[in-house]
Amino acid sequence: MTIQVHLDRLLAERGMTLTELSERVGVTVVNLSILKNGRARAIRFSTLTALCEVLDCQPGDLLSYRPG
Amino acid sequence: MSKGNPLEPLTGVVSAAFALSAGVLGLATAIRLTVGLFDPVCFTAKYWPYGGESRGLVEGTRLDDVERARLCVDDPAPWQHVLSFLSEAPTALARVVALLLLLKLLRNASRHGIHTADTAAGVRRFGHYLLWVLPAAAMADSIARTTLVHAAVTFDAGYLSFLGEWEAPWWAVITGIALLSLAKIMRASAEMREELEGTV
Repeated sequence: MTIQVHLDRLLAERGMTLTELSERVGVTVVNLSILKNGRARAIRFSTLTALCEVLDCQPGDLLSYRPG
Repeated sequence: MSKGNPLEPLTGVVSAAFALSAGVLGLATAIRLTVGLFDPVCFTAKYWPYGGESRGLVEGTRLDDVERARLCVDDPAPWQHVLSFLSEAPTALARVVALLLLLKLLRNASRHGIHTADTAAGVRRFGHYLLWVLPAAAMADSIARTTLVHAAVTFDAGYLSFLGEWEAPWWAVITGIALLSLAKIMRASAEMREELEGTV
């Protein structure tokens, strides 16, 4: 997959667990795990907005594109 | 009616129809292959040129029913018994197998989901079955029936008369084509479902 998700790095930088993020964002731990492990096929704007609000970041901090 | 399974009551109805028809077919086959071997072999000549007259028949064959041009061989040879069996069995068997395939398809769909690639493939296979196998079975019936008539008459019944005898199951052909289209739609919906399930 060429879109990389940097959720684990952002969580580590903010000292937050996936469970805590799940409670604050309102997305299940299972779905956040799918996103974190790069198995998601799409992400809703509402989820992206909530993640950016809670993690205090920009979408570009969370996602990046790697060619090839 | 099961609340959780959207394929009910269809699955229940098909299950009952399959059990009933398989039982009837099994019983009819058993009777045919035991008691039936001592009965005369009777069949209908769709094209009978002599009206009510008992003419143009080979020895040992009689005109049993003038209205329907039903011919009977009182002392049939084993091959006539086989052809008599084959003049009815293929379509009956193909219909029972169609019910079995439909039942398997419905059970797999309720177990694994309606909008899956496997269910779409199952619908496609069932469509092909209806489209090709049922007309072919009806053709086998007509060839067996026509062969019996050819052997029972002295006049030329025509080499292609089996085409006239062929009772093509158009319902199966139309339904088969419709199911092939439905399978394409279901394959697209299965892809949409995968997309939706992968959306966070």
